[in-house]
Amino acid sequence: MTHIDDTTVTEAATSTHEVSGYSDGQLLERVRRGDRAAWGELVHRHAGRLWAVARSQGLDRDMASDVVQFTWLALVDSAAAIREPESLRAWLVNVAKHEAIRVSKKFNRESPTLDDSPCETADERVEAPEARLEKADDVNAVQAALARLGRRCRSLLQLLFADADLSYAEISEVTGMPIGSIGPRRGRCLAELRRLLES
Amino acid sequence: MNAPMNDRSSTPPTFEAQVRRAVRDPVPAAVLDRSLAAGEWFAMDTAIATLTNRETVDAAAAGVRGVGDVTTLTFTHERLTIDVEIGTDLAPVVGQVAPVVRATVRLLSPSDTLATTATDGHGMFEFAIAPTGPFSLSIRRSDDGGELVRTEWSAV
Repeated sequence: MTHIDDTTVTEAATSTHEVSGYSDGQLLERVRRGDRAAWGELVHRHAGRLWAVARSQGLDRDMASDVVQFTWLALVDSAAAIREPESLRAWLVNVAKHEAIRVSKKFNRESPTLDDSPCETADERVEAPEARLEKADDVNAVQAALARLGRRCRSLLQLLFADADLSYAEISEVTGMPIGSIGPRRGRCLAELRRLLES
Repeated sequence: MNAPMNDRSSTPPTFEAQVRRAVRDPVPAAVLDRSLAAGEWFAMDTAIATLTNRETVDAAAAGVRGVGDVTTLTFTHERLTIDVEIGTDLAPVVGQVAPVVRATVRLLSPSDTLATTATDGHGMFEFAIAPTGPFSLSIRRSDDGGELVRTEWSAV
């Protein structure tokens, strides 16, 4: 497992690639013919989404990193066999989801006392009582409230608000929630989060 | 940022904007780098043995010799079968190639060869280290023109 440096940001890596406007299927066809730039474009197009899928299963940064890397390696092994290249995005999300669930279950089996523990952002931030009044505009306070939220609500809000460009269909696929229930649950989870924030 | 998108400094951010900031979690540069590097494996034009069976059992619960989870993976390519056990107390990685062939077996991480060994007279091999992230095994037969097969990337 490679340890992820928390201080690194993505700007440097994202600013150097060019966007061609090719579809996923066209890029995959180019990748199959050995086009490295096409691979880079696929990675930049989808890595953030795969990261969000892995993180939404409660994985820490190192575990999520392994899941994302595994997903791309799986694509290397399967590239020739993918029958619907234009469905590559769904294929990637599906692989990342299954691997993240497998890792999450293994982790919870090996560390049962950590099951359903608050996410790392809450562990890192202990709130001082005098800070309560300033809660409303405090990212840390929202993160602490998120950590107290139920796991399914937290996962849903992460997927909806983490800027990972996931469709409702993909969120439904990742969470197992029916598409039609995502909107109502979104409202209920936000209301519950607000209640925790204000309590 | 050169300029704010609009001047909202006098109004408090909406609750949803706060949530957006709180869950902000951009993909780390190191993860992008590992993803980009994965593409280098396209250059290795190797036959892939695909995962055909995977089982994980708790060693204690199942009465198997080992500590914690024992994972058994089976890969096949044409007539060749590769069975791998990870987590038994025999060795971190134990495997067997069938039919029995003399071969060099390498334990690969996405960026390195972690270890190299050879099959014995029963087609068995073992490694003294366990992979911690995605791994693959490459099997190069000593006979048969040095045919090379690699198991698909897996993780335990």
